[in-house]
Amino acid sequence: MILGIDKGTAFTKNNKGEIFKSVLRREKINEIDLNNSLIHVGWEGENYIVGENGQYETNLDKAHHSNTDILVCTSIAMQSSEQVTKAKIVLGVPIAEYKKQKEMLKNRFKGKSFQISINGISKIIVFEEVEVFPEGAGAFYTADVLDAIVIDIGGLSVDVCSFQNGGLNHFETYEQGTFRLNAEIAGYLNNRFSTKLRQWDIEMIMDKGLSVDGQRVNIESAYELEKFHTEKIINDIKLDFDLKTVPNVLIAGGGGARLYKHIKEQISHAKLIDDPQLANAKGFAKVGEKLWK
Amino acid sequence: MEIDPKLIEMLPRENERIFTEVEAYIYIKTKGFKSENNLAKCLSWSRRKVKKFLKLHNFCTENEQKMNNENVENSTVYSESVQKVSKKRTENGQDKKQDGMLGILNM
Repeated sequence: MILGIDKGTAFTKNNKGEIFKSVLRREKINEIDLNNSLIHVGWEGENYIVGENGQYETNLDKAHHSNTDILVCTSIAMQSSEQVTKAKIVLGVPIAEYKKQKEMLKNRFKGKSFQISINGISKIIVFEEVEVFPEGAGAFYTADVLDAIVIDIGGLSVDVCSFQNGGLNHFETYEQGTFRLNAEIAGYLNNRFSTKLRQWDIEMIMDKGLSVDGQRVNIESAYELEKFHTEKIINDIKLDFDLKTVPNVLIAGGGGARLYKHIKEQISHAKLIDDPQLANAKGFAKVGEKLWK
Repeated sequence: MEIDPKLIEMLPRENERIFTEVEAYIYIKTKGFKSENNLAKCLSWSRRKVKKFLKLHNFCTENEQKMNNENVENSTVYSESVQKVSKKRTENGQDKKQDGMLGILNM
């Protein structure tokens, strides 16, 4: 099985469309799953709940994240109905960290086998081949263009890469993903309305609005924060890249989809890439197909 | 003009006698012609009469027919070459992207 897996700070995605939050917590004894919607994972004698609540990683060093093994294996196991899955995978790291982390992340999986149970079903994942590709660059391979700047906005990082005639010629990573924005908005709303909102709650609030004590409240300032954050990202990118002359500015990532309306105000020719949240994973799968098919 | 199949059956065998204009019309409509010379031979007409008749009934003359055929051939060749160029362009584009992909993997 060839799979592209984008283990983002916020969500883990694979090219087949499997998405879950990149968080895990120990399962409580006698825990009841009321909606039967949790991912119960057995790993090295411990039971975990993946993708619900928990601590997410706060640095870009994905090769050393403690949750990487479990999240990657969960993504593969969720996709496979086999008891033993021989996997060939392409993973991603932030583009500025690519040279540093590539081999470390590869060595973490290549030639190894892991046992995992998903919702009580035991599976073995054998990593036959592992490759690592830069985030943002993966998304480029889902678009039918040769010249483009890809802006990939994730939870922690914003990866920007410039392609000329199909080749990568410049890249940068900015630590201005949507988690920082969500923290700012949560802080602002909690301060204003004495609420206890967390970063994870913000995306839904921005989408559906907020009720406090049964009353809809005005969160216009939160939208202003979102707009301001986008302007900050674009201004930083403009210092390093010539967005005006490049024929295609492609927006990718879950954060990219969320901030696209504000980006469009700044860069009129920006285009949202197809399936922006899965674009990297799909591009990684194309790399895998090129290498191993 | 719809042609009655009975009329075609009634047509005399080629070169047996001189065709009337109606017979010639049906003949050309149903069988077409390779060349004006050949048609003249089949109808037992002079080449000049054939030319005049073709013009009168708005049939394509030999030259016009040739030009049409050439145009069709040319347009086929043209569309094939356009397809080849665009295929080549796509292949080149894909090649360039794949080269770029390998370049990144070797970073």
